[in-house]
Amino acid sequence: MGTAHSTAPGCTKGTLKIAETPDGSPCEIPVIIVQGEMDGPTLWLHGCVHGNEYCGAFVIHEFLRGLDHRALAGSVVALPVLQKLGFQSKQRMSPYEGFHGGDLNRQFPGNPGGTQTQQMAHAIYESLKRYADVLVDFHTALTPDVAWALFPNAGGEVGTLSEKVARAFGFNSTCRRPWISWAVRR
Amino acid sequence: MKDVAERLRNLSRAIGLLSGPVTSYGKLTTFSNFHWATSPYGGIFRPKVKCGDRIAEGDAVGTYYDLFGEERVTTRAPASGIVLAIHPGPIIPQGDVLIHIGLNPTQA
Repeated sequence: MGTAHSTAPGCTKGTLKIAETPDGSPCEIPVIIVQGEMDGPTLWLHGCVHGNEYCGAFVIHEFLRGLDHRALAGSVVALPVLQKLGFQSKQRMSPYEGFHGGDLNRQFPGNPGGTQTQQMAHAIYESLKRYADVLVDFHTALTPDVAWALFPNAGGEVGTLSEKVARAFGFNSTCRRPWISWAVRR
Repeated sequence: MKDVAERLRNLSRAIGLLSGPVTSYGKLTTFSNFHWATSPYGGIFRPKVKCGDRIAEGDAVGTYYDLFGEERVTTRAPASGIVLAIHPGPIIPQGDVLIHIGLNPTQA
């Protein structure tokens, strides 16, 4: 993905270009792939889809520090900072589009022929849909004691796996939400 | 952060990515929906509830003060449920999220 090409067990780091700023500079986001010794599912983690919601980035870093690829059956793909334009300006949304479609979390699956934020979403979602078996998307709220989770009420295999994941994550306040058909690849 | 990283490891064990026993966190509290209320006022704000509290519609959730330190108004819960987030103060801009309530909590 981007410049991160994982070809063997171990940790690979690189970047994925998701946008360009008005001066033509690339907006590249960090990508970390940890490929296990054995085959298995791919867990996709991302943080800062809202640029100033930093907790996910720190949680991902903490999780990766304790991860040994030799103990892994499958892979972890981690993108700690998705909305880098917002991150750079310490705000939730793109500074270029703001309330006019600048909320990356509202633009998936994106559109390669759309607005900048839609193109960013498309650049990320193409890989997400190709590689991820399980997605965990981190957000941050007002205070450290805010701890709740959502999972899709999808039914079938996807619904069963989603509920299993939500229960294993285990935040007491966990809400089923209506699912969105494009969000599932099989 | 360490707690959430451990939850990620537990999730990884549940899907077979890591080996080892999966911790059970017990029943979950689920909701029929959420109620997000934004602040009708700006100013100094002191919350009266905390995350996890069960509240009833009409309960006091926080008090606004003016710049003289005088109490202006106590704001009331717009719905019954579990407090999932409350603005911590000390200053709240008008229109910021005041309180997030999980409606009709049930154990599942």
